[in-house]
Formats: sequence, structure tokens, C-alpha cells
Amino acid sequence: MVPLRALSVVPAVFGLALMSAGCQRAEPVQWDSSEQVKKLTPELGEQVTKIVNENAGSVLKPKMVSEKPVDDHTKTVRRELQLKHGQDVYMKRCVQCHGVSGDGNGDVANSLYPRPRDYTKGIFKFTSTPYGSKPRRDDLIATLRRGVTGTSMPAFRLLPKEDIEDVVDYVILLAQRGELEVQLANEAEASEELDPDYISEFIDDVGAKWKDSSGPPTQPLTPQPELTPERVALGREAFLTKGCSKCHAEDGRGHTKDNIGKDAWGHPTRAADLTSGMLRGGQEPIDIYRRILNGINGTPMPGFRNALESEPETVWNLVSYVLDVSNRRRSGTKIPAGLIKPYSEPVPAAEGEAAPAGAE
Amino acid sequence: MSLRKSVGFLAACLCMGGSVLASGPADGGTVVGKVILDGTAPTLAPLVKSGDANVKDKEVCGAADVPDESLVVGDKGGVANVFVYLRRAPKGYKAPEVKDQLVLDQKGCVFLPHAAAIRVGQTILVKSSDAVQHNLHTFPQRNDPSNLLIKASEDKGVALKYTKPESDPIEVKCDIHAWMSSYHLILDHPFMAVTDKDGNFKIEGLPAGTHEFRVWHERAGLLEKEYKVEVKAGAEKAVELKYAVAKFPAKKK
Ligand code: HEC
Ligand code: HEC
Repeated sequence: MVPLRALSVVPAVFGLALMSAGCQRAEPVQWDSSEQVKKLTPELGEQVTKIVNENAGSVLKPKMVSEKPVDDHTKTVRRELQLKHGQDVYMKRCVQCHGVSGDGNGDVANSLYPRPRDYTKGIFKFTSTPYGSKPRRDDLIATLRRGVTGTSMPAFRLLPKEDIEDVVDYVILLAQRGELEVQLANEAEASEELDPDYISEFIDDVGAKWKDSSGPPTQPLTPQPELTPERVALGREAFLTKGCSKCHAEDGRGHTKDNIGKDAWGHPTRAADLTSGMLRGGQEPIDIYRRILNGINGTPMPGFRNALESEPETVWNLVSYVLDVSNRRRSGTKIPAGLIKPYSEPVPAAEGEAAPAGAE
Repeated sequence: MSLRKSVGFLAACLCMGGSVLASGPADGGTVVGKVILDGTAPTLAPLVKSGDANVKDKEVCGAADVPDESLVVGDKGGVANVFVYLRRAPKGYKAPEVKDQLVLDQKGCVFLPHAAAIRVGQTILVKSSDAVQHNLHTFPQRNDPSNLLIKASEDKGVALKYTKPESDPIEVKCDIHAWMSSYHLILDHPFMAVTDKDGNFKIEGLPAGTHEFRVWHERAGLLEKEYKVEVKAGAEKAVELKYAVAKFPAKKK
């Protein structure tokens, strides 16, 4: 059952997408290959696809790149069923936004701001791990349960545990498949060949990167204190002197003149408006703490661990301040979730995407 | 410690079939060269003018002109900051351990150096001579990206390490000061160089044989994919690489 919030967020289009998926069982026909692969010569493209399929399987028989085959028939079959179940959940509840292959190009994606996450880059934002690392499985589960406030990503609070677990595995599978494909395509492009001597490195890399996804989260440098008004005041001071205001502006609204960059998906970014009352990465003090210590993957938001390690209390002061500014507008103006706001700049053609449909 | 790890990794990759080639300038060959611009170098306006009152952190970033280093041309048309390298070490080659530490600085809201050749596992210390914060944000293809806030006047240095080789140089930026840009080439072998201010480079210790070099510049991208040079043991080979100015168009913002 799709939670009500999701329905209110993407009204008519949502239904359409479901209809266009047809009445037969929503089983994907084929995964797309990425733009990078399409740019290769046909022979190289085929070689890449062949290796990707050997390692990630096919839609009919999806495989996790990082999982080596085991010599136990019962286990193998059980795993296959789990991944297929994850795929079923995905094709029912996620595909309209995130797309069949997880590239973020689902049927309704063009009308959404921000766009649904393209998993094929293997980059996730709301993590409890250092900048540049993969998310923990639990981070993805938390995102699904919580939704992403201020965007169209719904909260799947009522989905049974089994569905959540399996769909998260399927998301990881799509991410690993995407990463392997991009890495091989880059290699093929750079070398104009795929030297078999190096292929296993790329496959192993994917596994190594996801290896810690069931490890422990980043722990705070000091335990969480009571977030008092004094800390809010100190946090404000730190916000102005430690570098936050350089991107988020002195009032935390992120409206600085030259604050435009691109994120890892090629979309223009701006520093989050911390006063909007809608922290995407979670409202808990520890969520904000981790954003500050680790930064936010794929975006200009840097990690402050090195800068603040010698003054760990400052991190909690900053958390107090961010929560304070974020809550200030809570009761007042509320911007509707998933507000359809076009990207201010057309997405560059080099990223291989058409200009967003909603652009004015 | 990661240093040791990377060496282990290299050793593991070693193909036992071929003979293990010894390294060092003594028995290896050397390639010296110069990259030259064919045509008149454009005059580039500074990215930030000295005294600009509107620039972010004007006391530091506006204290002096911030030069546009996207095309630096020196003596006799020599082009600086061009990367010349082998994409991969010759098969069977065993790279010596990296001992040198590389120090990166940020001064007057400029990255120093602008272009750096770096070994996998090499320790890079990121320092800042500026009294304002910077963030060092890497955009690799194979490595995990980093985005480190570097505090004002960071003199101890924040450690940065790359664990994988890249195909070609990657960009390293500061998002706070959006004009700040630099390039890193990360390889798991030492056969790489960045041209100096007059376009000169030197690569030593090359095993004898014919090597295919890549030549890359931030404006031009790949200038050569497989520039062949025959190297003889103990000998020095001089090359001159000349490229039309039209190959170095200004980058679109
Ligand atoms: C109505 C559209 C929509 C649907 C349906 C949807 N998502 Fe999303 N999802 C989004 C958007 C938009 C984002 C990006 C939010 C952002 O950039 O902050 C997102 C982000 C994500 C992320 C990225 C979190 C991170 O840390 O970067 C994950 C994982 C995710 N969705 C999983 C799912 C799964 C699994 C489902 C189905 C069970 C699903 N989504 C259904 C729109 C949707
Ligand atoms: C280099 C620019 C930059 C600096 C410096 C910076 N931020 Fe950010 N910050 C960003 C950007 C960009 C985002 C939005 C990332 C995205 O696209 O999701 C962000 C997002 C955030 C978020 C997440 C908001 C959410 O929706 O969950 C928090 C919290 C935050 N910043 C706090 C801080 C604090 C506190 C500091 C100082 C310690 C700081 N930032 C310094 C650029 C910056």
C-alpha cells in the first residue's frame, strides 16, 4: 500500500505512470545501459554489457555484484527469491520515480524537483559514513522509513519489514550494477579496449566499496549534551566563524550570490536553506551532527571532522543552532512537500539529459 | 599505514610471467621534452582583481590578483601544467615505494600547485596559508571523492590520500571560492610529469622499449592518447610537442 503522503505529493502523473506500466505483472523488460556505454563503439559497448550481465545478472535473474556465488543450492535459491521480491516491491512502488534501472529517469521524474536519486552513480546523500563512502544498509532503510522531507520521496512507514529489507537490497544491486558499468565504460573509453588483466579489479572495487555497509555508523566525538539556548548562541557564533555562513549565508538561508555549484548528478546545487524547517537528511540531532562531521556525498557540503576535531563541543553547538533556525519557521510558512520547482539552469547536454520538462 | 597497503596491492598485481624490471635512472631510459604552443598565447584576465570589493572574503582573496591559470605560457611558448604520462606501467614493472610527501597549499585563494602528479598511496598534506576557510573537493572517477573543510591558516596539514589510479587528471575545487580549481593526476607508477613554467618535463627510469604517452591539458583535454617514444636503457631521448593555440579553447563556465 502506498502511503497517503506519496499520493498527495505526485497527484495525477503518479496514476498515469502506474497505468502505463500496463496491467500485466510489472516485470521490467530490460535494464537500460548508461549514457557512457552508449557513447562507446558498438563492440566495446557489447563487451562492457557482457561483463556487467555476468556480474549483475539480468532483470529476470538479478545478482548482487559484490556477492560471490556460494556452493549451497538452498542458500542460492533463497537469495534469488529475496532479490526477486525486492524487485517486485521496487517495480510497484519506486519505479515511476527512480526508473527501471535506477537511473532516476522514471516516468514522472521530469516533473519533480529535486529529481529522484539516480542510484547508478552509487552515491547516496543521507549516510552515517564519512564523505565518499557508501551508505550503510541501515541508512537506506532509515531514509525509506522517514522519506525525504521537502521532496517527493515518500515515507514508507507502513511497508512490512521484509519488503523494506528486500527493496533496499535491490536498490544496492542497481547501484552496484550502475557503478560497475560506469567504471568499465570509463576504462573502455580511456584505453579503447578492455584488457582482461584489469577487469577483475573493477569488479572487486565494487565489492570493496560496499563491504562496510553493514559496519558501524560514524560515532559522535563526544556524547550528545543537552541542547540548551546557550549552545544555540555559541552555535550561531561558530556558524559565522567556522565557515558555514560562507555557503549558507549569515542567516542560514543559503542565499549567497555566488553559491552555485553542481552536484555529482550534474544538477545545479545551492547550500540548503536551513531555515526551511525541512531538513532532508533527518531532524534528529545525530543526523545533523553527521551531516556536519561527514559532509553530504555528491554535493559541495564538506565534512568538518578535521576542522572541528580539536573542539568537539562546537559540533554540538552547531547542531543546536541548526535545529533552532530550522524549527523557527516550522509553525509558520510551510512549503508544500515536493514543490515543483524547475532547476534554474538547464542540465548540461554533456550529462546526456534533456532539459527538465518543468523548466520555464 | 595505507602506504604500506598500497605497496602490497601493487606487489599482488605483479605478473610473474614477465621479467621484473629494475627501476632507477641508472639502468632506465629518460624522456625529456617541451610542450610548445603554436600561435599567440591569449592574455587572460585575472579571475579576481586585486581590491575587488564584491568578492567573497575580499581581505584575503582580493588582496592581490588571482591569475587565470587555465593556460600558462612561458619562455619560447612553453606550456605549463601539461601532464605527460603512461596510462599504465609496463606489464611486469614493479614500482618503487613512494616516500615523498606532497604538500598542497592554498594561498591568496589559489591552489598551490595548480597541477600535481601524485602516486597512489602517497601522503598529501593539505595546508592553508589563508586566514579564511577553504574546502578541498575532489572529482575523481575511480577514487572515493573527498570534500574536506580546511580551516583558516591550517598549518599542520590535513592528510589526503588516493587509493586508486585514475585514467586522466581529475579536478580539485573549492566550492566556497568557486574560481579555485586545480588538477591531480593519480597513478600507481612513477612515469608521469607535469610541465614546468616553461613547458619542460622529464621522466626518468623508464624500462627500455617503446612507450605510449598520454598528454593532457585542462583546456585541451587529451592532446595525445598514444604518443610513441622509443626509450633505450641509460639513454636520454628528447621530444618536442607542439600544439596549435586553437586546441586550447577557453572552458565554458
Ligand atoms: C514520488 C517519487 C518517488 C518515489 C515513489 C520514490 N522515491 Fe526515492 N527519491 C525520490 C526523490 C525526489 C529523491 C531525492 C531526494 C533528494 O535529492 O534529496 C529520492 C531519494 C531516494 C534515495 C536516496 C537517499 C540518499 O541517501 O541519497 C533512496 C535510497 C530512495 N529514494 C529509495 C526509494 C525506494 C526504495 C522507493 C520505493 C520503495 C522510492 N525511493 C520511491 C522520489 C521518489
Ligand atoms: C562549501 C559550502 C558549504 C559549507 C562551507 C557548509 N555547507 Fe552545509 N550545505 C551545503 C550544501 C550545498 C548543502 C546542500 C546539499 C544537498 O544538495 O543536499 C548543505 C547542506 C547542509 C545541511 C543539510 C540540510 C538538510 O536538508 O538535511 C546541513 C545541516 C548543513 N549544510 C549545515 C552546515 C553547517 C552547520 C556548516 C558549518 C559547520 C555548513 N553546513 C557548511 C554547502 C555548505
